Amino acid sequence: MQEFFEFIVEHADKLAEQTLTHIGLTFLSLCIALIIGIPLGVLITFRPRIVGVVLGSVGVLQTIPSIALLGFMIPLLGIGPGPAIVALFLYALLPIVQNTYVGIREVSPALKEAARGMGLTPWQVLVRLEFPLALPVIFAGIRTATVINVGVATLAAYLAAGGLGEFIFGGIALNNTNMILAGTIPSALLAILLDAGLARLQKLRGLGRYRVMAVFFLLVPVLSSFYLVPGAGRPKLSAGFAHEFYGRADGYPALLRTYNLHLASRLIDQNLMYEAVRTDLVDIISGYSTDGRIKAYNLRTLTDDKHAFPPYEAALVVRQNTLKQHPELQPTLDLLAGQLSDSSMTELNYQVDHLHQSPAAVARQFLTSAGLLRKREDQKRQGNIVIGAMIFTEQYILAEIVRQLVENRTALEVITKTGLGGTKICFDALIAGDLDLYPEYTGTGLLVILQPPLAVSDTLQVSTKAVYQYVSREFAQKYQLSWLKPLGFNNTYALMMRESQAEQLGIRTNSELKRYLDH
Amino acid sequence: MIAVRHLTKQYPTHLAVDDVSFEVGARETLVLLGTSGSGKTTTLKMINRLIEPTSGVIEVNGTAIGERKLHELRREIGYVIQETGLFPHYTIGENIALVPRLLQWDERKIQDRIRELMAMLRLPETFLKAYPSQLSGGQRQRVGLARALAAQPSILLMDEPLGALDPVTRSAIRREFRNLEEIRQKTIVLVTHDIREAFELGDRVALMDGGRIQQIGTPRELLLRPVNEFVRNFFADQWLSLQLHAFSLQDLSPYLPDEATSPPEARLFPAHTQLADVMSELSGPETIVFQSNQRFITIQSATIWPALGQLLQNQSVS
Repeated sequence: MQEFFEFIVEHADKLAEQTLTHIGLTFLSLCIALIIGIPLGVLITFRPRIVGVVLGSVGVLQTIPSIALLGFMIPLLGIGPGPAIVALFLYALLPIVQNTYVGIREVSPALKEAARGMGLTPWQVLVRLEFPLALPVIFAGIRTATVINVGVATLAAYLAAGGLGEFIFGGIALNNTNMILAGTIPSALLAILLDAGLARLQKLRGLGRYRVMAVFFLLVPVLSSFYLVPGAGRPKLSAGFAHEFYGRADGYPALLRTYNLHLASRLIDQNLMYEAVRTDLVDIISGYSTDGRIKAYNLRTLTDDKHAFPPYEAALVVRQNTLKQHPELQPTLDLLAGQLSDSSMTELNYQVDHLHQSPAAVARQFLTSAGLLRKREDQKRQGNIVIGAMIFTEQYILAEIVRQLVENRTALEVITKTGLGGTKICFDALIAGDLDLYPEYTGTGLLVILQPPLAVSDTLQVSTKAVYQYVSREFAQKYQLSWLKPLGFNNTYALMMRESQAEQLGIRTNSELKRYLDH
Repeated sequence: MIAVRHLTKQYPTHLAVDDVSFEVGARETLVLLGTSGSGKTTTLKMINRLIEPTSGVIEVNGTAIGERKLHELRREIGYVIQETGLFPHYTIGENIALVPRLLQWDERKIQDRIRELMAMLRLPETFLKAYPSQLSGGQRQRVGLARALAAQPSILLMDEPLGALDPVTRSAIRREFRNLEEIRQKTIVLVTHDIREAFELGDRVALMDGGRIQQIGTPRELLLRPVNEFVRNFFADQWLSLQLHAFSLQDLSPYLPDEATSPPEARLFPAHTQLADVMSELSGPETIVFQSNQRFITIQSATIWPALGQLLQNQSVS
């Protein structure tokens, strides 16, 4: 509990910004849903033939799982606030259209006939009779839509649109409960407050009701504009950081410590980060130096001239028990040592990310051209090992390489568990025995798992070799885990910018970025 | 004022109105009487074009209504329905002001008119800010009438206007309506299934069945000279009491004693008073008096029935 409040206090700025963005996203999409949904609901009362089609379509939209709907947005509209608002709007549409239609339909036919009989035009019947009488029902729909949107808006962070979901996704990636709660509690409170407030509006009687509802309708655009508030006064360059980078000691905090580099950042799914910088949604991202998209998107990797980020040599981390149990395993895995350079790893990533080849096919090509595969004989499988991989392309490829190599050269059956949220999750699973090995990076092992005193890590960080030696010694002693020989490449954190912008601003290193921002 | 010629309404499943023709003169009240499904309401709703006829012509003030703008036509015709059709979210004042506001009357004129109507229909002014749900059924009915009268239409269409009320309230409001000078000035078409209501309010009654008018005429004609079995049977149950609605004091004058001066202590009634009203006013062996041809004619509850008997005998002879 104490830690939770400390987290809140520490991140108060970010939290306030996220809350404002969240309210803005909710109401902006609600506003559009009102502008389109209410007239649509009214229209279908005049056109009974299209009622089925319209309510059916908006109903189907509602049945799409929210995360899938957001996922669909990426190929259709890309990432950023636009697609997120479209998705939220589509979600809010059903309750508003349906309740408008039902509310108007439920107005007594005798009353409508009386109104027409007195000489009201169809428009006057709508405005003076049907709409006011349907308003409580319409409001019930708005209430439902608002509460749904507060919830679904947490997923907007997935599209790099901000909101309280940033902390939720980040917390999940980092296995940080306080961070998850810091996103969850405010969004739940927001939902409860809005629900209770709108419920009170709905229960109002008499003339007051119409006044208050009118105020609400005016308030929606005002609340929508909250989305813009955190953007005001944004510095020259904006950054999009992966959740892990934002939270990990060797990520953004290291950058702060070494360069005193403060960036207005948005938390973005690491797979979408590159898309975000490519489409100008942000200017700087926290990439990985071997990512295939650096090449594909023409990004510039800024040189870490003060060594804020430790070296991240990739190597397999294996349980010592597993190595003892299957003595054939270590010699097999050691065949991979030094086989992958930075550029060859970048190329493999590029093939998967951009040429859309499967990790399995890319792994096979790599192993074949490296001459590591033996002629295949069908073996009877005996025993098995479990390989873990984190949720990014490189890890998928590495897991495939290991799987194919081991199955080719030993009788072991290999089970892969891919898509794990991050280092903390993989490491815990390894300790618990749920995994036998996974590809890890030396710098991560140092700073996320071992967390030595600053003085120790600062001295180590300068030398790639020193870090490897330190982590392999410490892991063996503390956790009975073996670091196998490095695979050869160094996938470190790096800040990246669009080549064209970086060229124009003359930024090549982190220090130059700092200097540019300070002036 | 209203002329209906060969009006027919054919629905896919049935013929609702079958070649109906009638005229309603200025300041006349015509009652469309019949059971449910007789076509009376359909006929009424064709007059303000809530229903479009399959064939036939309706003229209002000499113009075929098909040639009029729909909402303009309707604003000139007061419309009163069962359950009144008051807007639940409008106050009583706003409900009454509805049509004048549509016609963009001057706001002061609207307020004056509302107060006039409230006074006329004996509705306290405190009701102006109340909502329909806060009023009793009878009060709502009066507000419904006030709303229909508000823009001073010369024609009123009333569809079972008292249908939602209990019998006691019904007859009270009925009498009240009948005695309002403003209503007497209107040309009215009224739909009801209540025979007594038809006799009490109608100058003429059109008895409908199966979409056709079986007979149209004064209550007295329908009662005394039915044209077919249907009409005769329709009134058979209430034949005696209906007579009291069909005749007035004036009608009885030939069969009653008259004097040159009014007897002391006798109550004076107008000669056009319906006998039914006289009967409900009389309590015990009281004598009442009315004026006919400068003579004072006295009557008691005991002498009404013998005089009525003689009247009917003469009617059937002539």
